[in-house]
Amino acid sequence: MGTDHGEDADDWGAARGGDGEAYGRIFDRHRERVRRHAHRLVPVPADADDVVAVVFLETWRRRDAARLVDGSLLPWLLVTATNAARNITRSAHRHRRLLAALPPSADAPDPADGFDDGPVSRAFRGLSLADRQVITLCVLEGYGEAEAATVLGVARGTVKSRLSRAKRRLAAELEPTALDQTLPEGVRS
Amino acid sequence: MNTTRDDALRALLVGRVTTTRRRRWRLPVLGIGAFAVAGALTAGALVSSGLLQQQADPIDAKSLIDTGAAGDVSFLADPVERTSDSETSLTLGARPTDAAQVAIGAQCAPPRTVSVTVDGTHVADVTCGDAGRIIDLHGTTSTPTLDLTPSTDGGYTVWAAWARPDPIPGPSVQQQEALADGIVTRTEYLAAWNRYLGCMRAIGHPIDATTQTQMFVAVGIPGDDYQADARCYASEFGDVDGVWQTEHPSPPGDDSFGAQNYVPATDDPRYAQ
Repeated sequence: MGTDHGEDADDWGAARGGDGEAYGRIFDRHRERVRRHAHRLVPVPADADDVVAVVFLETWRRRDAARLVDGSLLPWLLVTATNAARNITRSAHRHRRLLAALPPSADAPDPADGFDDGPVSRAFRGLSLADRQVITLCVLEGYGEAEAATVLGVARGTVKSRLSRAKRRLAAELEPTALDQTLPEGVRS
Repeated sequence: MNTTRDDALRALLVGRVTTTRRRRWRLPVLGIGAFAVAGALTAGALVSSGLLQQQADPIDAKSLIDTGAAGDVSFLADPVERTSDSETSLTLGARPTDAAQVAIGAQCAPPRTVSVTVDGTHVADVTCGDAGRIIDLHGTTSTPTLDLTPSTDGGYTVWAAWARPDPIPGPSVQQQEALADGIVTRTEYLAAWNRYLGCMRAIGHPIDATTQTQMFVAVGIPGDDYQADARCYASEFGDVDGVWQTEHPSPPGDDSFGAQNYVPATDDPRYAQ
């Protein structure tokens, strides 16, 4: 789950003290990880780039609420991405002027090299927000229940029950043929 | 691999963080503050009298809100507070409908931080004497208990209340117009800055700022003006400031970039108008 333990905590503290470069380092450290997750959440590459921007803008805007897990901000960024992608149009509205000032996204990647948009990704996008949050943290990113509980602000038992239900719903969303494809580790359990 | 968009986004983020004034509300100034400071100053006496572990009576927050002292947060219930000299806990009153957040602050001497844990999960470190902050308690019990652990021993007082942050105003029509074409010129930048100064003056918090020749205008915001600053900055200057700094990204590691003398006609003709 990354090697950013401690670095994020130091940089996040410095950023909160007004050190912009410190937040820049957090962006450098986690940008690609957030982007990969964003591509799972939204099928349009340009929207995924907007999700990345919204995640870092929203994390700073809601910095009083952000929670680090074992010194890492990544879980919070991933949950923020999950929330933002739920309705990227609405999420981007708050930051539309800043987004408009950014250069356009790079050309769409070759579909052969593109991010997975198979049945699992589509089923994932069909889950409720709460299900997506817990699947993101505990299945796709491998965080433990206690760590997910910290980020989501719920009790550990709540994560456990949500995860169990979310796995069942995800399995139900998938056609039998899809189960033979790229099901992430843990989803079958 | 960094794209141009990545570089621009990074510069925007760095600029946002660098220019963000700390949002704070002046909650401790009146009722609660007077109480909390008194509690901290008399902590030694209270220790010896054995009164520290007493739960204090809730304080009437409504008067604070009515006078504007609560700033950019509205209480949804009366605050509760507790004074101690070691680990203790503070139980909130019944959760108001739809309440998910709690305003919390601390006073103590000497300065230190107080770790706040709920249901075994660390949720915040509150710095004594700093402005209050909001913590998110959605998903916890209807009357959650905040477990408090000071970083070092000594008297301290923590107050907390179910609360809701007040919405920050959106950008003014003038600010939106300045951003409409996607470019912020020097004229638009300074006009927005002057509207911000006018806004601060109009609501009784004039800022002493005379220099407008630097790349990035800058001014110190006195603590008593933070609340007014948060609103005027969002309304008149924030988005324009962000775009301007994106248009003029600081070279990495150059802390003096924004303070350099700015001569638009020769240095930056694209934005000179």
